[in-house]
Amino acid sequence: MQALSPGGTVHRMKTSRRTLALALTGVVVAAAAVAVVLVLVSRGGGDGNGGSATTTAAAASRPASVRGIPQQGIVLGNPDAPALEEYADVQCPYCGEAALKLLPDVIDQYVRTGKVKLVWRGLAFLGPDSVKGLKAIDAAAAQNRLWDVAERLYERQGQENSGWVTDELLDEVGASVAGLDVSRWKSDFESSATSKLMDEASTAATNAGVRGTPTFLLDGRPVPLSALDIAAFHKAIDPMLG
Amino acid sequence: MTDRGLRIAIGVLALAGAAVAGYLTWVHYRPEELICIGGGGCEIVQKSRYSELGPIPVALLGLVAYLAIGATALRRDLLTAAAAAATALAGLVFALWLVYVMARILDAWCNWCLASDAILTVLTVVTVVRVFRLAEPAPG
Repeated sequence: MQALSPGGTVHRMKTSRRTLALALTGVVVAAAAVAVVLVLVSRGGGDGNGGSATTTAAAASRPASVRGIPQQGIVLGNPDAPALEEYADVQCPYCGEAALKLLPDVIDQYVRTGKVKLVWRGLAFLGPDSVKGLKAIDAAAAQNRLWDVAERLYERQGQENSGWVTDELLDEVGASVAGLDVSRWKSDFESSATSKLMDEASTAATNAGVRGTPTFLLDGRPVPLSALDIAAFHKAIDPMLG
Repeated sequence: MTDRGLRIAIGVLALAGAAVAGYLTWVHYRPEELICIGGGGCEIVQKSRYSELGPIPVALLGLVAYLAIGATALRRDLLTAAAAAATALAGLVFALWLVYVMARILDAWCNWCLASDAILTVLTVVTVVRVFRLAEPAPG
């Protein structure tokens, strides 16, 4: 059996190549099939975070404005940067305008670059929807998703005191925020940490003499905005930042 | 590397992967025991809906896969080696999807998962090399 003819060697090499090709094809096909099934189930399966969300969580994501920026409780951005506090009521239309039109630019140009950190000071003085909405926003601080929830809630802002902050709406908001444990978030609406945040913001507003919303303070000094756009913001804050 | 060397490498890597996946499976059921290395991202990832496939924790699937791949090191035939490579490759593709989920959807990183991904990457290479080796003509 030692003396193989050259033809025998060639034949064996051909067989070996065929075996290898067959094995590799099998490996790739089987792996691809299994992987496709796993990814499809992962993308579409489940009913949301912790199984508590009633709406589809396939659309869960993070708002582009805050994605990739560190978030700690009520603070968005570099914890060592000067504090830009925002006093707002989720029902106030100008706060909605600020949240959706001004803040994305502010976050992009000032927070993402580390020039300031954004600090949420949520107030609830317009009515029951303000209280319910604020609890929902402040409860997300425990999971470092406060700014995500705030933006998603502002996107759905309804008529003042019309009862627009419904449980269904909050379910929808919760399911839309990737990385939020919805059942924990909802149980935190009434937590002592949440009410502490609400009290702290209210006290801070009184101490700072905040008279309306939205109000922005940079390290305690009012930012004199003439309009809710980034040009007015540059004009007001750049001299303050030096 | 000889087939014996490859089988030892597969066994060791599969055990290391099983240890990480086993820990992640355990903390899936006992989240208060989770130790996040380098930030709190692993908590977000572990509690996200992507940590489960239906009712099954992804970490448990990983644990089973690692143990199955490790068991293939006990046999020396091509079919078993190919099954190990297919399992590892499927796991790697799925792991890449989960890396995408961490980067683009959750914006949170689970370092335990990344450790498992690193092990799985090397394990995939070794299992595929073993398929090549076993398909080679025997010397002589």
